[in-house]
Amino acid sequence: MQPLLDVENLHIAFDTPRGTLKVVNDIHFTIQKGEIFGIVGESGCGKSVTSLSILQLLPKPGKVTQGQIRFHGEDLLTKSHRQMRQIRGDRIAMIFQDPFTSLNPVFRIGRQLSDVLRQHRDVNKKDAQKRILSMLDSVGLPDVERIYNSYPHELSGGQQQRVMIAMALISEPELLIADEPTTALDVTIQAQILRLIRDLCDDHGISVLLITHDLGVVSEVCDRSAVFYGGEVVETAPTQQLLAHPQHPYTQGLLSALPTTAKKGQPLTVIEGTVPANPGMITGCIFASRCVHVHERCTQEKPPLYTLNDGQQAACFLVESEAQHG
Amino acid sequence: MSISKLFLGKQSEKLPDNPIPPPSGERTGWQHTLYVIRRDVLAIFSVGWILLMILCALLAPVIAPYPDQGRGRNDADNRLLPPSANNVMGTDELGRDVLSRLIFGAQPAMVASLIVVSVAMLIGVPLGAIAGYYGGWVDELIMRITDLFLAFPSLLLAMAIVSIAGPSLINAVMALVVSWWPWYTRLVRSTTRSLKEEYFIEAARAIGVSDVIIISRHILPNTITPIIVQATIDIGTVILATTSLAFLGLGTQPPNADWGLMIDQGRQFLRQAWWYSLYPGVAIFLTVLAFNLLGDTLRDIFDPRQYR
Amino acid sequence: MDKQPLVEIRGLVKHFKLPGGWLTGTRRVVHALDNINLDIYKGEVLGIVGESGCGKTTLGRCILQLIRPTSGSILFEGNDLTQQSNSQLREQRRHMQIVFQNPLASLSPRRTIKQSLIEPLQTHHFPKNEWMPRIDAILNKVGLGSQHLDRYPHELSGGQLQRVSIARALLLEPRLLILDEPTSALDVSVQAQIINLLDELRHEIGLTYVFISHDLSVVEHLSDRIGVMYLGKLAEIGDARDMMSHPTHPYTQALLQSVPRIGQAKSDQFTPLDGNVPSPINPPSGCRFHTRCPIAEDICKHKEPLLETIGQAQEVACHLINKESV
Repeated sequence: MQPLLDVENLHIAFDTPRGTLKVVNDIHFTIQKGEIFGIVGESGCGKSVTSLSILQLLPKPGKVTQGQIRFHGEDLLTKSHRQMRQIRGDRIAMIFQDPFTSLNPVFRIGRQLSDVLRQHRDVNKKDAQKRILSMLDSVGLPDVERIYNSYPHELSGGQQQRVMIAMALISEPELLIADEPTTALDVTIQAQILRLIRDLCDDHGISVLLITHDLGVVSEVCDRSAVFYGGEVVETAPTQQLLAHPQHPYTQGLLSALPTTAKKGQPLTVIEGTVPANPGMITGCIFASRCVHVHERCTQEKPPLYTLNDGQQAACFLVESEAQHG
Repeated sequence: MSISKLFLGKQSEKLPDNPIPPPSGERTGWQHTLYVIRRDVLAIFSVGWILLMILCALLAPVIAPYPDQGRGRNDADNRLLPPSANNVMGTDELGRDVLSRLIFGAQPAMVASLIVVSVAMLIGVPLGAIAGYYGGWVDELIMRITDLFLAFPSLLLAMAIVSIAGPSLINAVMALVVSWWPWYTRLVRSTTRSLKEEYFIEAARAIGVSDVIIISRHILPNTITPIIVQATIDIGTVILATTSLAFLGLGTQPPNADWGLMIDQGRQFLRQAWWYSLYPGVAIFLTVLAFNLLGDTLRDIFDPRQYR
Repeated sequence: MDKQPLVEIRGLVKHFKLPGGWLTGTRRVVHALDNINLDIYKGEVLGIVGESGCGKTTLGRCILQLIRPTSGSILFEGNDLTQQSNSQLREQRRHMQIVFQNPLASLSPRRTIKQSLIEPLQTHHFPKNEWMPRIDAILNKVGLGSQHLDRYPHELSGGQLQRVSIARALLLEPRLLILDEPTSALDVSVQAQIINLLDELRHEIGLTYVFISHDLSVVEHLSDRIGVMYLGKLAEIGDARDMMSHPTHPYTQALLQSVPRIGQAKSDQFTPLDGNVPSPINPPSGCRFHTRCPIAEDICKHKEPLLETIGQAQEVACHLINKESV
């Protein structure tokens, strides 16, 4: 079955006055229709930049130097600005971390939603209003008439994020890209929003690309996930499998560094060292400098993403034999 | 402690475990400054012109072709001569070489404006820091006084003061200081108010550092950049003010050379001797422009977010 | 853990007045803290958790008198801090320090690390010849080296900066250390390092910590006791292990259930807590949690529940729980 989104050989670099900095190095992943796909990684791993590049929203000094991003088989990177404007908000929508700065403070909610809707669909004002009210209701907002007439600052963080989701879904996109959508929200509100995203996918078949640093979020909501490190994909798998049987040393390290998995009184397992300063310049495995299982080969050759049974993939020589026999 | 800080909810920005590094060929602070300046023709011009003016101000007797005339000695035989090999910019109605007068005129322009701006900063900056840091009635008091002075159009206030005290460059300078300091107070106050809420200021208070030291050690150095930008542009504006006052007869008095004075004196001879008023006018224009451009360039250099 | 309280907080109230409302006489007030009663014992780690608007940050600041309380008393080793003048307080500051959330913003950007570390020693008149030995010793303790001394804050990583903040706080040999979300701005792998460091230091030096965070798993790992706050009041306080495994207050239960966990996704039986956190400007009457509480009854709307001891050293503020245990 053709995947909904197919990212292949993607390379992204930033052109600074001080030289070129490679931030994403040859990544592959696919998203199927009707699934929630998670990208998880720490700061600087390239996850946000990847999501922006899908919609050609990379800020100026950044650019895609190589690769393809196929949506229903068509490469989005070859599309013109005009074509992208038709896709954005219509077939692929995006929501960001801070809803407050994504909403225009001087316009009422109803107006903002209506602007988006009428940009992509030919509806008159009345019908637009009806659709918007029904959308606000389906994202779980109470008292939709009042919200319709409110300004962003009159709403709480959770309500604003729901409005953002409503705005993203108003033209019924096939793919929703959510970049850290709940990071800025309180835990109890986060639970509501994650539940909402899960329901939207289950009930309406909307695919979601969810970007987060929180492994708990990924576990709750994502069907499959990819782990990013230093601008590369180090592991991909169905989420529960990934978290229960991580194959890549980085994923393993990440999991054991979490306080939830540690025993009280014992120090947490720490990943020694730091993220490489210039990941694009590293030959060999991107994680080699911090890996506890490092061999000489790791610093010279870059491990490809080996595929194991059950669809799990890991970029590590340690799984090479299993992948070949499996 | 501002309320807004407390209700931010979760801090969502994670600090990368190493700051964004220079991938290849890093430029240090100074090198970067020179790099930016070199790339910008206007910046080169402004720095060059200002250096030239400083040179003129410092070394006028050495550079000027006719230094005595620059100081004021007449040469009755050569009145109002058009530009020639002997007098590149012609002569004025008293036979003095215009170029020399121009070079000597750089002195009051540069020196006076530097003094005005420095003294204004010396008065305005501490007041602004105190007002911004303490808030409350101290802030109210200082700002009301500042508002009072700001309400007067600076040139008129300066004119009024000079009329009472008597026309001279020194009085003009003092008058301008009086109208200039409030701008710095305002600027520093607003920067201080926002800095006050920063974590590192709170950290200093938590350590037990006294207020005076917090202001001088932590707040003021962080307000320097907008002050420097403002001061640079202000030097240009003050030059306009001093030359305007001289033009009105309220500043530099003859026989001293001053650009504004020259324009005024040259007014009567505009038809016959266009060079007399023109060159000082151009000098003022270029100098003020240079300071404005330099201020803009400094602002760009100091702004860490600019990638040029 | 000593039975003698290091800090005794009685009746702590902090109201912030919002600007405006002179003419109508209705000045809006933010009820950040209302009638907090709390003891902090020597040598313990007291975790304080809660969502936005709960007052935990204000509590930390009030203990240190960085914010002056509206009313109430805070006894530190018997001395009432609220009764002391600014200059007396500055002397006292030696004994209680704070580490902030954002390590980069906690250090003066134009001063080197060395200058920032000298500042506390200089302020409290330590002999000059002791400065460098003390600084070297403390850097060693937190895992940094002298090569960091001449750097500026923006040249160091988040983890390194937080170590500097901790070092600076410890230079004065305080007895109490308030940690305000010390790991929230750090990546998971760095977070683990800092948590281990804090744990180590605590055992080595015998410090008392107040650990404020919204991240329950981190708090649980380090704390002996945990206090849960909601809208300016303490909902529950007691032994950390007990509370996390058997939360009593309905809010604590909801909070724990809402946290996204690794492992199985939440069952469909779980309904996220409804509604938003009410505004502290207009807190609900009676029990502040009643608007969202799944088991709220009539009494909850009218009467405020007080913190009462149930079981061993556990205190809960809930009518229904307290009624049961009577």
